Formats: sequence, C-alpha cells, structure tokens
Amino acid sequence: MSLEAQGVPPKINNMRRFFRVFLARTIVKISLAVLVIMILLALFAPIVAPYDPYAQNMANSLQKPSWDHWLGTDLLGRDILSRIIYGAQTSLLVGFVAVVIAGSVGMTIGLLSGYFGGILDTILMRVMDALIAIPTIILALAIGAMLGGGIGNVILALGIAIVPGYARLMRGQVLAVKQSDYIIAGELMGMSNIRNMLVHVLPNCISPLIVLITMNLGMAILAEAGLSFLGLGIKPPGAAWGSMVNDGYPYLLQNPLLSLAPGAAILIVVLAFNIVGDALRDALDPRLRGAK
Amino acid sequence: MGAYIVRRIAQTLVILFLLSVIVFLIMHLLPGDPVRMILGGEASHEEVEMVRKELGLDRPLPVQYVSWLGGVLQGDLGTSFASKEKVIDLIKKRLPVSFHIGICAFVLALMIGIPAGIIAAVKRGGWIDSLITVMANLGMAVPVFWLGILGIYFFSLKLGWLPVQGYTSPFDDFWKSLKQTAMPIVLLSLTTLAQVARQTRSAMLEVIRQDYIRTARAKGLKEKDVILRHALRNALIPVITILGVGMGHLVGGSVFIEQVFNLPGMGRLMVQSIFNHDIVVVQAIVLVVATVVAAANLLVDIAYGYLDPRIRYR
Repeated sequence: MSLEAQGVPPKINNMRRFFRVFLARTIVKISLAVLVIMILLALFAPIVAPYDPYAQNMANSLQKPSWDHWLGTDLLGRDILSRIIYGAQTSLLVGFVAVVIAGSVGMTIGLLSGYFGGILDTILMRVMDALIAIPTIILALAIGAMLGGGIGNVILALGIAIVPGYARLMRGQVLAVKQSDYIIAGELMGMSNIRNMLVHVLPNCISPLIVLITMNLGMAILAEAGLSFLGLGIKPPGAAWGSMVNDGYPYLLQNPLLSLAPGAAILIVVLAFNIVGDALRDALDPRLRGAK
Repeated sequence: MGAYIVRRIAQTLVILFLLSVIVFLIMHLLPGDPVRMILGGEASHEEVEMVRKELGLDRPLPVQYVSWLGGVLQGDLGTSFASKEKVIDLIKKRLPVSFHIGICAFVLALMIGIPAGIIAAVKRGGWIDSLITVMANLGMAVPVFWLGILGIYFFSLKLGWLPVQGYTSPFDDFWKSLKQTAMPIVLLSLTTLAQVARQTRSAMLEVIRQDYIRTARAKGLKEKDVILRHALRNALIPVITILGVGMGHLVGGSVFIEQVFNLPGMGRLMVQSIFNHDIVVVQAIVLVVATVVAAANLLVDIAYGYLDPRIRYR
C-alpha cells in the first residue's frame, strides 16, 4: 500500500524537513564540519602533515611547541602534529571497517533469525545476549589477547563486540514486517521468500541503522584508542592516538601535549560523532514524519 | 511477579552457560598457541609438547571444556601460568579493590546524574539545561584514560593536592585511602554520570508532558511535589534500564583507571595477564566479569518488572 494512499505527504517534503530539523542547531553544523575536516585530513595526510610521522630525529627529542613543531616532538624527535594527523587515518579506518563488517554480519544474523524463527532464532538471540553481557572493552581485550595486536585484529575484536546491536535491530524490523498485511497476503499467494522480506524490511531499517552506525563509529574509535593505550592495539611506531597518549605519560612534566593533544583529538572526534548521531535520531524520529 | 522472576532467572542461567562456552572458545579456538607464547620462540618441540601435556592442553577441546566448567562450578578457576597461584585467590585479592572504586563511582554517578537530569528537564531551554547537556555529551565522548592523565597532570603534578598512584584499603587508613581513590572514583564515574543525566533528562521531559502531571498541577499541588513525587517515579523507570548497560561501561572504564592510577584491581590483573599470555587468568576474569554484569542485569530487570507492571506480561 503506497505511502501516498495512506495520507502521508510525498517524500520530497520529508527530505526537506529532515535537513531542516537536522541542521537546526549550530553545534550540529560545527560537528559535521569537524567530521569532514577529519576525513579530509585522513585522506590527504601525506600532503597536509608537515613532517613524516615516522621520521626520527634524536637531536630534536622532547621539544616544546615551537614554530617548527606546533605541538612539539616526542621522545624520538617525531613531530606530534604530523602523528596526530596520520592517527586520524588509523582511527577512521578501524572505525569504518569494524562497523561495516559488524553491520553486515549482524544484519544477516538478524535477518535469518527473524525470518526463520523457531529454535534458530532462540539460539542466535541467546548468543547475542551473552555477547552483550561481556563489556565491550573486556571482550575486545580477550580477543586481542589471543590474536595479538595490530590493526586487523583490533578491527575483528571490535567488530565481534558490536555485532549484537545490528542483529537485534534487524530482527526487530523483520518481526514487525512479518506481521504486516502485505506479507501475509504475499505468503497466501505463494510469494514469500527471503528476498521479498529484504525488500520490505530494508527501507524501514534505514533510520535506526544510520543512528546505530554513527553511535558505533564514535564508540569504536574510543575503544580502539583504549586498546592502543593499553598496548594491545596499534603499537608504536604506528601513529595511533591511543598509543600516543600512553607514550607521552612519562613525559607529562616536559611536554604535557604529548599525551593531552592526541587525547583531545579523540575527544573532539567522538563528540562530533555523538552530536551528529543525536541530531540524526531527532531528525529521523518517525513521530515527526509528515509534520510541517 | 513470581513467574516473571523465574523466567528471567532461567534466561540468565542460559546466558551464563552460553557465556562459559563463548569465553572458552575465544581462549582456545583463536589462532595463537598459548604454550608457545609462554615458553617463547626458542623452545624446542619436545619442551612445548611437555608443557602442553602438563597443562592438560593436549586433550580434546570438549574434554577440556567440561573439565574447566566442572572446576569453575566447584570454585576452582584454575592456576595461573605466571605466578602459579590459584586464580581464585588472585581474584579474591583484586576484586575488593575494583568493587570499592566501581561501587563508589556508580553511587556518585547516580547521586549527581539524576538530580542533574531533573534540573535540566525542569529548566529546559535555559542556560543550566544547555550547560548540563553539553557536559553530558562531553562525558560520554571523553576517553577515560586521557581524563585520568589530565587529572594527574593538574591535581597531582601541578597542584600537588592528590597523590599520583597507590591504593590503600579504606579499612586500613581511611583518609589516605580517600586521597588516593578520590580521582579514580570521580573520573570513573563521569561517563556513567553523563549517561544517567541524559537519560533522566529525556525521561523527565517525556513524563512532564503527560496528562497526569497536568492533573497534579491542576489539583494545586506544589511544583516540587509534582516533580519529585509524581514525575520522578515514572521517569526513573527508563533510567533503570540503562543502569545495566552502565555497569558494563563502568567495568570497562575501570580497566583504564586501574592502569593509569596503578590500582591493584581486576582490570589491571587482566591487562598484566594478557601480556604474560596467562590465558587461564584471562579466561577466569572474563567469566567472572561477565557473570557479575549478567547478574546485575538480572537485578535491574527484576526491579524494572517490579516498578513497571506492564513488563511482566510480555
């Protein structure tokens, strides 16, 4: 049954209303700008960064901020600013890949679970519940303990930890759609199969999915930073914000920026993701759909 | 109510069982030979096999699982590779520390977060609402370990008010313990505080719009009574649901806090064991932690069922 026939205004109004609500507050616009800047920095790091993040120069070790090195240098003489810019690549990469993998796996599990129901559904959902009971960091630490550090394993560990959210979301949508009239009608006509289900479920999923993805991105970046800080994620000489915070800890008195600057970068980026996620959720609120 | 509790307990037991399987699989199925990791790269093949037999790691996996689970149910969580102590003893020493910091942080988060959320909701749109919302957003985005380092920089190094590290039990020396644990507790509570404040605020906003609140005001009740006696009770119900999740985050955050402030808790033990390739300890800690969180979630659900009768019949 088409949306127009139900008296809901056509899509173009929804799109405009969405952007109007979404971009209403200045802080949201600033956050979006921050995210765009971060993505650009990550993509164009080799051009933007003033120095090679791996270039050591012992003569310049532990310098305070100066015109040459805006944030100073670390123990091995590497430029902090450049390492922070390159760190954006690591954070974004881990965040996006982990979320994409977790999203695909989770949604598949949710789809199968919701569609087939029965014992498969019960088992899968109990397993998801068990996964959720383990705090994300602990789970990522345990998986990382077995696999070792490195960017691939961090992505895998984080991915496994965030799968349940997508599984539950997809399953909820599938169950809701399964009960709707047009599906039942389709089944009576012999039309039901998984592809049909997907076609009807996906459009409903999109709004909560976008919000979940944005929130998970912020969380993944925070978690990756945490793992790197503990020494189990991306290890030096790799430029990752978390491990930079850890490296700078012994030198707080010489140059506090060694630890504080990369941490501030993490804070700003995660905050931006959270604010944008909140704004998306408000703008996509189905209760407002069709409103002026 | 009774049937609901029984159902939830049964579900939790199933989850705990699955948890034990998942934890076991993680530690035994993932690539990475623990015996090689402990002995180092130069160990000969015979040495590796000998240690493997000694630790019982050459038995088929299901046998190992059943043997481990049997031990766990009797309170034997294994023996540490590194220190040869019984894991259960290690945990008994460390758990009180983590509990101390964690519970205090949790209570602090509630004591400040709930009133903050209420004030923000009641004075919606005002400057205090904006301030509280901003701080809550910040609190949820800030990396806990960075906050710890920031705190140490200002309060220990620059101002010299508080010590950098160390832990004393409050039963041994109350004031020293307070000075040492003040920063860890406050900083650990911030993330949960932020979540609680946000959730309380949005729940209160939701409730204040309801008809029964209008009725209460129309009856002539003082605003204070309207908010605290009628609105708050209903608003707290959704807040309770995030307490379960909040506990999980608190446990995760405590790993970093213990690392930064060098507190001898469970989180620190886990990190050390990971670096020692001491998978027996890691396995036990993950199981214990997840069990505590699952139990907390169970209590939260039961409380939720008590407060909101609608949930019992789903």
